Amino acid sequence: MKAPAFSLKKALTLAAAEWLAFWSNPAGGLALLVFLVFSGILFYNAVAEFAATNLSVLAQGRILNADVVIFANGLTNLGLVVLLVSPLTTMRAMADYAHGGRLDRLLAWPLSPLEIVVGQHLAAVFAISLLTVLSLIPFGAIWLMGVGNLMSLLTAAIGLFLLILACAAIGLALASFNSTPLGAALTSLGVLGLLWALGWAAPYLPPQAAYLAQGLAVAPRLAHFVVGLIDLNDVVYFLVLTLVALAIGRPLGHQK
Amino acid sequence: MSRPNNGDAPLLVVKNLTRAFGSRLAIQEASFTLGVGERLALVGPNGAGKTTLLKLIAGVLAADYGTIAIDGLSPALARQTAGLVGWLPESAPLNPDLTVLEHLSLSADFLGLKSPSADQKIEELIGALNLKEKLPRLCGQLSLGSRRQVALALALMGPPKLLLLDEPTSSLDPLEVLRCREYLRTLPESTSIIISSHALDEAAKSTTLALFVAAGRISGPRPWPALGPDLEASYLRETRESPRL
Repeated sequence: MKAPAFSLKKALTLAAAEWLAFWSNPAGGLALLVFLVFSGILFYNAVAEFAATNLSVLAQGRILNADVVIFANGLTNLGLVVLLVSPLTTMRAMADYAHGGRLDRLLAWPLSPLEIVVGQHLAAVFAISLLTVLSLIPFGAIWLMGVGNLMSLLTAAIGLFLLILACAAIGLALASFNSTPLGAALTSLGVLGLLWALGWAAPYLPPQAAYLAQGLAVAPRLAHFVVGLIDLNDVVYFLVLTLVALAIGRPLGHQK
Repeated sequence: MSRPNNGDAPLLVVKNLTRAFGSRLAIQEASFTLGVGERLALVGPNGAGKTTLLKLIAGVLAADYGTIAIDGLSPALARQTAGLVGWLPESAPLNPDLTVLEHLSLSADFLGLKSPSADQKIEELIGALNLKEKLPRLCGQLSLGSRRQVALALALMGPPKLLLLDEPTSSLDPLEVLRCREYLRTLPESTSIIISSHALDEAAKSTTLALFVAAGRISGPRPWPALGPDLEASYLRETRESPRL
């Protein structure tokens, strides 16, 4: 009657339960609302900017590239929304369990720490992915209208999914060291925001620090995907971030 | 009166178990064994260390010193082994955003119970603990007593070889206490049970052995009859013997 080290079935069962609980809670609706409002505003801005700029460019006898202005900008902004909203989904994981005393319940089930971490990670990934897919619908719609490049849309979707994997794992890791959901959300927001801002800060840093900042920054990696490029280095970067964060995140972090 | 020895290896072996919170020793060098099918009550005042001892055995707290073996496994491994340990935590924590039925199904899934045996087990627990009307309700909307009933059902789902119950009847009304006690009696004789309780009478009715816990020190286990007819006097004697009280 020896327990297996890891059962994907158990992790998926936990993920399904977390998914149900997420949408039964007001936090799920709030995340959906915030995500759609932010991504909608940013999409509208990208289209409005394209329309306004295109008029002036047309007057000069040139045509603006919709791939760059709508797709690249809009999808990069969508990445920023993923990064900002993912703490709303992960803050309810470990920290909420420990805060509400429910970690005891979770630990009372025959689950290994790895199954708990993976189950909660998958639940967060599913939730953020659903929000992202809903936000990609307008991009798909304008592609159907003949604007933009399908390949860019597909590679951007892959890049966004890798970003979601990393954001969810980082959020969970930080939530496992916070005693309250709010603390978990704010810490995650700070760390993910820093990873994004490193790309902006790099040009103003000394050469070695700039090199490091560029290496760690999320935005330049995502920028490759949204213009249709899949670089193996970028894929490895996101996967390493995810695995390191999952290794750090542990349900027993709250064990006193 | 000594404990009967059926010749089997004990299900639970606790040796020199010590756990501190800061400078306070919650459990000090506790050693005892529990045989297959034995039913033990942890009795002692509030803050004596009963819950800490149960959490250590359940594998959700790590010991500072000493060892615990459940069926030869460490608590951490035993906890992950389906059908070995069932645990009812004191606060009966449940996910407020899941229904009672979802909790029961989830528990059956984690324990690897398959239909139709999973459905039968869930039906049995629903009937025994009177949960039918509560099935579609979110656990966050239940009273503390109802949450404890659900948590008890989850602990009993296995069914486990070793059942750890922290104040199982607190917050329950008298009828629910009777139901709970009756259901515990229907468990297989091979089920070992440890119940933490303040209520001496209740503990004596549900178990055969008493382990006194006072200021982190344990005394026992002893069969209840060996303590004499005056349980309160025995309780006071046992808990006052602790040098730290």
